[in-house]
Amino acid sequence: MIAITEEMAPTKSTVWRRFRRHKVALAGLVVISIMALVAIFANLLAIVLGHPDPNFIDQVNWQGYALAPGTAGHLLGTDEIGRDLLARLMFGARISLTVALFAVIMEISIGTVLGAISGYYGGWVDFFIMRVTDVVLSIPLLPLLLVLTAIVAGTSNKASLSFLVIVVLIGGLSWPAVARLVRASFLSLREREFAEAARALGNRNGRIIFRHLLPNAIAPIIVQATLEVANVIILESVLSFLGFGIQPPTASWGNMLANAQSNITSAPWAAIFPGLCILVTVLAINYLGDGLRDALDPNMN
Amino acid sequence: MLFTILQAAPGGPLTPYLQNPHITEADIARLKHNLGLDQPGYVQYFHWLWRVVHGDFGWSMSNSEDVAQAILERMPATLELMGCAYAFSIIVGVIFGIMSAVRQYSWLDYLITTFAFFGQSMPVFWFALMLQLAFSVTGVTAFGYHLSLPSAGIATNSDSFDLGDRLQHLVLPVTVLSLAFIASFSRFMRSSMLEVIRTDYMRTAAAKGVSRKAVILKHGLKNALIPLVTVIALSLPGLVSGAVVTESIFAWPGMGRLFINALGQFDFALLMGYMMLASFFVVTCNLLADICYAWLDPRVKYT
Repeated sequence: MIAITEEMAPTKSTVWRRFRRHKVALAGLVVISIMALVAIFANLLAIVLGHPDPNFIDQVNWQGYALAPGTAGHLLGTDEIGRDLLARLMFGARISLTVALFAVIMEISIGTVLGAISGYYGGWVDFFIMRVTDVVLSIPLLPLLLVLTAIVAGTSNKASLSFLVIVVLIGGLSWPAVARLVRASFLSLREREFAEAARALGNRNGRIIFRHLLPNAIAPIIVQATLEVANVIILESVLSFLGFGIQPPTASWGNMLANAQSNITSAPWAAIFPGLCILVTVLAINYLGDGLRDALDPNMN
Repeated sequence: MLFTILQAAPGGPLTPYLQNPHITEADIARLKHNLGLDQPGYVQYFHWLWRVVHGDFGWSMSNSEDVAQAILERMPATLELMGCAYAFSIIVGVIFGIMSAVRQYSWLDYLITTFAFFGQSMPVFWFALMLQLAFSVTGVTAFGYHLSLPSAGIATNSDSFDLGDRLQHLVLPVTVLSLAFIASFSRFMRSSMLEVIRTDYMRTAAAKGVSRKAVILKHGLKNALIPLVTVIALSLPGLVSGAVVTESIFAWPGMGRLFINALGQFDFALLMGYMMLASFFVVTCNLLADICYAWLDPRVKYT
């Protein structure tokens, strides 16, 4: 056990070499990169594909029902009111990925700071933070999120608020897992010689936490952050699906499915493609996280 | 001793007080939605808490009935769904986990691991839609049989009890709800089992001439299950969340659907009642899991 804790963190080139061996994770990285590029250049791609506005209703060809894939220049068809599905998917990618990115940044920041403080100081600070963590963990997340978004929706009528609200709520409620993780590594890190040396040199606690201990705890945080992106994408899509997330007409993968549900027999493609996007993206991220975990593990050779 | 367990259990004795944040939130909203009561929020909160302690959750405006009664009426349906899904996912997850650990790096192991990745990445509601599309809208014809499963409700006829019919209605919702949990339990079981297989007492048992099957099932399983207890307990909030989604898609007449309906009508008395009950349920089950843990693992002692 001593040998394990004294092991040096792998260098950058080692990490990359190990990561490359993990073929599925590499594929995951490629898929996510493509998704990210599509999300970033959604407006350009939409112009190239001939449907620049995801909310534009094709009144020329639309006849009261969803157009099948391939008809009238709609590669993936249209939804039930004649909007191009591919364009909506691309703009939906933008929304879903941005929500996930910002929510995870927020979640990781809160979780890391609280976990670091908790693990470093110990005592009643630790006790207090951990009890709060326990309580948040024991409340089912989805119902709580639904209640809170409903309250916000009930007190304000601005649909534009929904993006920010969802990011803040998801980020503000899903940090406990991160906090526990960071706390666990800080508990062992603070006993190590270099931490003691840093203290002996008279560094302030804040400096020790962020300059000396945090860099050594970063590997599990990166892995956790990756996996959390996957979780948040699913969470956002569920919220939007139930009508309490991203509000229409803004496209998100979740609310596209909400509309498609009622027409699932007549237009199954409108239900299949958005879900497939979620599945593929989340799967890719999970494999990426798995690959990163193996690559960053100091005990692996 | 009991007090220490309470302290160690997630939530612990502080839970009723720390529920505070969303209760005050609701109180603020209630102030706006209701008659504009002039009492400050914290007074209302204590009034509310006082009534809850006495079993009075208030009046549900959207259903025009007592909140406690509305929830209790629908509880059996939810417990039926959640119980079946929980049992199903634990059994299947453990079996899958053992199979892939015993045959590590075989094609079976790869198959199960891949399945687990898909299961964890699958958006529950989409999976539900696809199953509905496949099994109930069109029906699946395979090997000469036409298979079609009911996709909504708990029973075809609610007046008479027909076990076969009830089971048919359970198939799709339970499959949907279990998928993610089977995936995570089997992955966890696999790594836990792999760890146990490498231990000395397993080698000793094998050296004594105990058959491989008996070594795995008798010596290995019990030890590998210990860490799984925590994972199973920690996945309960997720199960409650999953049940809400599953119920709303499959028109299951349970608490989750009641909750979604209440949400649309800002029926806060009902929402709060549900949240309290769900959290209470989770905390109680975590406590039970902790006790189980101590019982399974003699090394853990609560003093």
